[in-house]
Amino acid sequence: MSMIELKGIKKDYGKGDSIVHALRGITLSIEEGEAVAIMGTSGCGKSTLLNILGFIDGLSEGEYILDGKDVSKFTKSEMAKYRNRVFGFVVQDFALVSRLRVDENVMLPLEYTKLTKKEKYKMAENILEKVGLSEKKNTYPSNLSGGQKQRVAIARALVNNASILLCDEPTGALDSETTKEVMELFMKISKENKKTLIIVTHDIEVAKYCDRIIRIEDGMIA
Amino acid sequence: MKNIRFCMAALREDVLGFIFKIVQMTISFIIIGFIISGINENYTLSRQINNIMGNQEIYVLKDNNANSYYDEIMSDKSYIPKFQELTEAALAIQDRILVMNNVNTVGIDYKQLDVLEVSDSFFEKYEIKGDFDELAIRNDFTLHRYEGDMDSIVKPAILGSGLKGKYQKGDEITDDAGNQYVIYGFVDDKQYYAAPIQGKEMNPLDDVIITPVYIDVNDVDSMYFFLYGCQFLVDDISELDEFMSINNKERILETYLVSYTKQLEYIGNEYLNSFVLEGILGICLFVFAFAGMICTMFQRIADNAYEYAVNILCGAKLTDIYARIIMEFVMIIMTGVIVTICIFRISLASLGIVSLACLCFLIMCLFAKYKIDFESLVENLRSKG
Repeated sequence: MSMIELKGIKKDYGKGDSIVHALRGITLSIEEGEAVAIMGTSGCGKSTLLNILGFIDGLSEGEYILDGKDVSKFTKSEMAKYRNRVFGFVVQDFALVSRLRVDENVMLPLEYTKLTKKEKYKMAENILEKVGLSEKKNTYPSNLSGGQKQRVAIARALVNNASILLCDEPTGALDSETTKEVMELFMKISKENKKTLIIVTHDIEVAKYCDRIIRIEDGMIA
Repeated sequence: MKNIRFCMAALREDVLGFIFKIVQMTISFIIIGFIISGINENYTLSRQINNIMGNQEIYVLKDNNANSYYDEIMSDKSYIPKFQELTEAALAIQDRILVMNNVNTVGIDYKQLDVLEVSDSFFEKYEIKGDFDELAIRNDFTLHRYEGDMDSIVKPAILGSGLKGKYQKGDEITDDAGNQYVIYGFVDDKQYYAAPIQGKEMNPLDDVIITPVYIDVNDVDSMYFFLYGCQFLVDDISELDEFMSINNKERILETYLVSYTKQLEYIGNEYLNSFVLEGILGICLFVFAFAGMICTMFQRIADNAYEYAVNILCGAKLTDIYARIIMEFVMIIMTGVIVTICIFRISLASLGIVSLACLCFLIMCLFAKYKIDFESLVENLRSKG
């Protein structure tokens, strides 16, 4: 059984004449530990698909099976639990909270668990060490470079041992050198820990790191 | 806990604003509490008096005498028969409720107590509950006339609720003026009586000695205070004509009759005047404080929308976000509620403030729910792919 199975996923925005068909029937499967790149032009629906995969957006029609479970039967609370425990999100603008230190940003998903403060700090320290930022743990995001910020975001996505990493243009704000570093880090983590990696990108160089490339055009798989 | 921690972190960024809101809300709660308390006091006072009066009316004598006149009659023995005649006329009026409030304050075991001289009907008319034998009250709380020395008299006494643990039924006590009392019982906690001629507040029966009326018929002072302590419960004012004509004929007291209905009206108007001013101030403060809280909430939501969205990515539920926003306002409101309860204890005012606080809380929740939804929050994170 696949980790993720989508059958005829459709997503519409708006109503009546102003309706926008963002996704027009996506069917795909993603295996556990697989690294998949979703590519397409701007506005083709690739981010919408990623948002649906990560329970940030709902679907209008179709079937989404996650690890053998029908997502349509999930409550909002269960979805929040999945965002916390199963999915790790990495986005283009890093999504860091500016008033929190690096370690506090990394600990954010752990705030929604029952771990003790000590355990949270320990886990944050471990993951920061893995991404090579343990020395920056007391720094605020504003004092970090783009690449460092993205590594903090990756650390936060992984701190709760998420099994699926959902990345929306993770290298969009980085230069080519840093992009290479970040992607190598992604692939290392993915392969070493058997994490499923789904990357939305318009950069073919980034997509080449993945096992499979899915192209979306006008809301459908090309 | 996490929401409290997040909330505290947000508050640390605007400590002064937070303190200002707490002070504003607390003051408005206190003022509103005083208004509720005053309205309740006025209502309770009116209700008690109206219950007693039924279809009748209570009249009391209002003092119009100058101090020099008082000194003159006290020293002039020729006034004794005149006062005796007037006292007998007062006693002849059919249904009296006698309350001679706070005329005497005595000390017993270094505790200051008000002596309340009452008739046997006082307990029934004022619905005073307590641990005492009603039959003994009927028998012994009658009016006593005596002449001369009171040293040998042991007065029956019902003590206030505040003296319960200190004395027992049957104990004999002596006040610092040498008056002796035998304890018949105690009134229950939270018993009050209204005497609108003496004040607009309900009088508590905590630290009092309630005794029957003793009139020294050879002492002008004793009769003088008896007459001014009389509450004449009559069907019609004409029942007091004879009493007043004796007084006027003999030129005994410079006095006039005041009805409790008029007195309640006067007190009601007095309350109303103060409520208008206090009410405007209290309501303005409350409205400003509450509007300030709503505006701050909107501002906070706008400023922190991205942070909330990041939290949702990390596993927060929408209810966590609501909780974080509302928690700050709960702290502001709760401070006001706690201070108000400390001032007013468990009372209608406290209950009113708690209800108002709950209403504020509900409105805040509705505003938060209206202002925050999942879609618009996560919109902050979306790239247009």
